[in-house]
Amino acid sequence: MGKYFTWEGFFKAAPLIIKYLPVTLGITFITLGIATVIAVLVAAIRVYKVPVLCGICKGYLHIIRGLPYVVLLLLVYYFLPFLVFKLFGIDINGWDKKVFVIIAFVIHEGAYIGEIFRAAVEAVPKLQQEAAYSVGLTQYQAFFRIILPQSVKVAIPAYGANFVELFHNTAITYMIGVMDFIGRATSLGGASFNYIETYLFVAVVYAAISIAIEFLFKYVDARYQFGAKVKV
Amino acid sequence: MIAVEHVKKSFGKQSVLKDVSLEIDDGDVVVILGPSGSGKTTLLRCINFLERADEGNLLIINERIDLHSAKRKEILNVRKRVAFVFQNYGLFANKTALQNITEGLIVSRKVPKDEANKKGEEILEWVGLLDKKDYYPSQLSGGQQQRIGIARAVALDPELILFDEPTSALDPELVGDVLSLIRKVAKKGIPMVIVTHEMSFAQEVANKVVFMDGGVIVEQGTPKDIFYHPKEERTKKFLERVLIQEKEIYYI
Amino acid sequence: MEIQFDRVVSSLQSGLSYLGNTLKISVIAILLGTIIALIIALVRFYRIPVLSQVFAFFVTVYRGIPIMLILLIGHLLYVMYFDSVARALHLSVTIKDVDIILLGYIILTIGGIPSISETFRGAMNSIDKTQFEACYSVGLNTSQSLRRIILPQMLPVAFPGYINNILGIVKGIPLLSAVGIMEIMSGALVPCSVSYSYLEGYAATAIIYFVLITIILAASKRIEKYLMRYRVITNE
Repeated sequence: MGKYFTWEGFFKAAPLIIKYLPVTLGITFITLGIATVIAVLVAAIRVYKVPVLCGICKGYLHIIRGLPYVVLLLLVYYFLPFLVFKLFGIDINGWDKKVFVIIAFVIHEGAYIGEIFRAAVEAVPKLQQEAAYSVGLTQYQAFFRIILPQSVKVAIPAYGANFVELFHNTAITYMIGVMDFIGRATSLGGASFNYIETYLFVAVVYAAISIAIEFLFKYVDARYQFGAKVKV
Repeated sequence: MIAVEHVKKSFGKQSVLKDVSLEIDDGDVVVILGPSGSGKTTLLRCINFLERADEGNLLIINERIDLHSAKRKEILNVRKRVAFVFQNYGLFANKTALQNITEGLIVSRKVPKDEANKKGEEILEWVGLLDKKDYYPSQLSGGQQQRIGIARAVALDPELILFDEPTSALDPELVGDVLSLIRKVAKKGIPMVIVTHEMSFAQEVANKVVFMDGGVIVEQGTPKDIFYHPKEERTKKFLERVLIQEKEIYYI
Repeated sequence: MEIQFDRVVSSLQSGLSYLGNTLKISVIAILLGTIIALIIALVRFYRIPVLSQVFAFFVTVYRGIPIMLILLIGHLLYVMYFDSVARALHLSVTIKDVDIILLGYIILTIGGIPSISETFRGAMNSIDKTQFEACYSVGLNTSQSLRRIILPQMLPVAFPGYINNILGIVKGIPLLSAVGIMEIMSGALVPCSVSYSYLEGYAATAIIYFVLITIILAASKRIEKYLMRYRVITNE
């Protein structure tokens, strides 16, 4: 097992590692799905200043902002079993690590995406809300039919940037040894290939996908204009 | 008959409506004139609860609703019967022209979709914009947007339509079309309250003119009364300033 | 499973003892990173041939790679090539003589540069073009117009994004513990290998980082207020 990088090793390792890319992507998309729903709720609570809940959301955001992602992950990984045991008497230490990853990620993203949507909703002109009310729509109807759709348009760039960041942060699963994309590269690197070859491959794929996601969001942003003429 | 009684509203320390009462009979076209800050827009906004008045009542036919402590259901009820036309058009940016008109019908009044679409197209035809029914507001001129805003208000079959400076945000060449449409709406007989600065239009279309200043109604009467025989000093001063400006245009 | 608070305290103490390390890494990474990022942003903004394209390529690629990966790959290269590079430069040090914190400086600086340069570039692009025309017409040369007009206007715009970048660097520091660099997290975990309970260690880590980051955020809000005041005056 030499310490030097060979292209042969690189291309041999690639197909073995790429099999685990769906795991990482799965974590990303599941997190986004759940977190986005939470985020819309959080944003609505903040914007409509629901008593008590609004303060809780503010505190939630403040705490999450103050913690490094990896610290949050480790905190969830070690604390959640403790908490669940104390409250319900169930031992969840044996659960798949991926579950802890998703829970930690959802907690983080719920706050951050919530902030993105809050800013986006507040960017929608008040006139839209007034027009909705004057036509007889309730708060609910006005929010979900008129304001939220328009806020999505405003949120697209920031959401895309956040998407890429989330995707990058899946790499920190290295710290708890999850068998995902980077986990596979690690185990393969130790077993028969060089770490350099496996990690380089992972880096290339991460870069390619990140760039692709950025382009995708730029494209979506240009298209989602409600008829306004904007250069693509 | 619709009326507002003793409406008071302050924003912080600033008292914008001091004690305003106004009656609107069937078929009335009431024009409210006045300098900025006189409270005319605030009065309109209090009627359909875009602002919450501090005191006052709204009388619709025989229902009396408290403008300050009305509950959500009552407010919703009022908004279904009173339509509002905004200075900045207020069209839903994420809906087409037709959808803008049908939104209130389908969602708020539970009109079935087909019926709503049919009605929407009829109204669009009536205002002359049927060919633009699938266009988004960003693709339309200000005048077109405002005409659709008016169409939206009329489509709701309201018992009262409020117009908040409907032409103030328009380029001059587009004002005429909107004013023609407002005339058409007046002919339909729905009671209207219009806040405007268009003096000659006011003279022509109104059957009751109200002059407001400093949060109170200074004078009200027929257009002839107010424009040609104003009784109060403040009214006279206001008309002097405004009408001279309108006349001076011809000297350029 | 129980939390013992005296263990939390000892983890706190242990973690805080490495606060110095952590701050050292942050400050150097931020300072160096900012300077290099500014240069890159300027080069790309003024479209200096060849260099802009090269920088554009590197920034795009590096932004696509997570810091965790940059760290792991960087660590491998460091371990493999440190001695050969040192010999080539005629330095009589070997990898064993140098504290691995050096790697921390390098990686975090490199990791921070792409995002900071993007923030600066975005801020520069948002300045009204007529400002530049005004500079030229009044006779200022490039370095003068930069210093006196452009950079001061760019600062308030770039500031929020810049703070985000800085926080990104600080939040990347716990990752360094994966390659053996001692910082707050690894420090707080030292007592845990004795007591076999890691809960308290991570709790302590969270507390320390939370306080540190909150302080940075509070300071940044004040600076932002100050910058915004300045901006309003110049625009009038």
